[in-house]
Amino acid sequence: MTEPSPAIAVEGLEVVYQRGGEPAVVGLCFQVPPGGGLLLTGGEGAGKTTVLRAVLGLVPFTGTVAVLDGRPGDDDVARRIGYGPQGRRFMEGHTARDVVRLVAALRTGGRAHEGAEDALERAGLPPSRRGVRVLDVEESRRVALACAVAGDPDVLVLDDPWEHPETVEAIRAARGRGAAVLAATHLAGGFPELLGATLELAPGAAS
Amino acid sequence: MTGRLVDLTRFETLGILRRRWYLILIAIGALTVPIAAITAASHVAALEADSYRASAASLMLIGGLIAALALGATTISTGGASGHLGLLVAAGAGRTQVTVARLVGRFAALVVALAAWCLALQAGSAALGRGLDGPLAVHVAASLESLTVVMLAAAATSTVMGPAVAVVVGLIVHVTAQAVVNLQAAANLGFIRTWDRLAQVAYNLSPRAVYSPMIVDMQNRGQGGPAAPRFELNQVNRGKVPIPLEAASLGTVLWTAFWCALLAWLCVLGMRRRPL
Repeated sequence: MTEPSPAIAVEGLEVVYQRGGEPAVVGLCFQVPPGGGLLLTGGEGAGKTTVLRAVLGLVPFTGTVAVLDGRPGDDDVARRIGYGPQGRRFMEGHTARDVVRLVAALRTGGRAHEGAEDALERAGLPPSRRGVRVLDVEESRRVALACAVAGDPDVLVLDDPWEHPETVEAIRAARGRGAAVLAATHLAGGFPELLGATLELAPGAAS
Repeated sequence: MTGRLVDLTRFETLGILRRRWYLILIAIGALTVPIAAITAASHVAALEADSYRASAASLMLIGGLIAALALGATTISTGGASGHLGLLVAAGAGRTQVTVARLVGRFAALVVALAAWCLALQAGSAALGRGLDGPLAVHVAASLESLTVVMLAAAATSTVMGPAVAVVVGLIVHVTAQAVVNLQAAANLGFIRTWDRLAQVAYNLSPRAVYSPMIVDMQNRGQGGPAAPRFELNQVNRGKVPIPLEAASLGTVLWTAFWCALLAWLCVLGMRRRPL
């Protein structure tokens, strides 16, 4: 019986933001199998978010990155990845409901709004806060989680997730149905156990 | 593909139309209209129209520039830094689609701002007993094209630089677009001698400000107010010589529209390899 190909395979990843500048990430290698998980940890500037962005095809890179047997950024691949960005500014003044609806519509190829309310429910954002444009940090983290889980994608990419019960449940559920989970945080908490594998990054290099 | 672009455009347009700073800017602009009307009413009948239109031109220039620069300078860089654009692209939206949606949304916001002010100005004109002001409406349309170039220049810059630099570039384009038109008028009269050729080259290459018949008429009569002062050149032995300007020709309207398309395309190009 042949082993299934990894959901995420990274080899020799190097990301340089400015030509001639120091690399943000260099020589990074890892794999995440379907149903598996990996936590990227490390201090500020270690390159955690950069690695996630490379996997999502959001930054130019050298090396090999394969996601679901495709290239990062390809249309078909992007639709099968659920991404929860870091911070709270990603909503850019939109309501939680509008953001998650659009993300769900983009991911499902036009079946607009499908799964958005369900995703917000699973992320634990109360209905009274879903039509609000200015949310606090905790609520924004829940919206990011809702963006990631909407449509039950085959890969979850979580940047700086907070350890809510809903986050834990979402990761367990995703792995349980065979989805790979890649997360990055500087506060590991219970995530190493939840994800099963940890990779610590140092600035400019993998350790 | 089209459905996605429609979804994205609707999302981005509504997002910018609901912004607090944008709504406040429209409200402040509209609030200047009664002041303009009261000021105009205090003039003798012959100067009432000029006074009101000069105030309207100031609103279009100052308010319009603030709107165009703010909308353009935040097109890509702020959305990129906040993770907003990354979220959309990671969800399967194409970079070109996202850029087009952002540009269309911002252009729509500029149109709405100018339309709101134009409506307020027409109401003010009616309140002064002058009825609806057709030349003023044409001036708003001309301003829209000039401001769109400024907005798109700032937007194209925002793909590679921060908002402050994008604002500066937008301002430079605004000043340049006016300067080439003014210098061309002077060159046509042979007033800048050896520089005539350079003025001609700049006029043929640069985006141009689109002057409306209304503003040119007021400017040439020295009634344009601070937004459109009379254009004069210092000449040896002759002092300040007024240079008559002409309203934008169809060629200038089309040339500036071409520049809008070019800057939008540069914006799409800049977005293609930008880290998000």
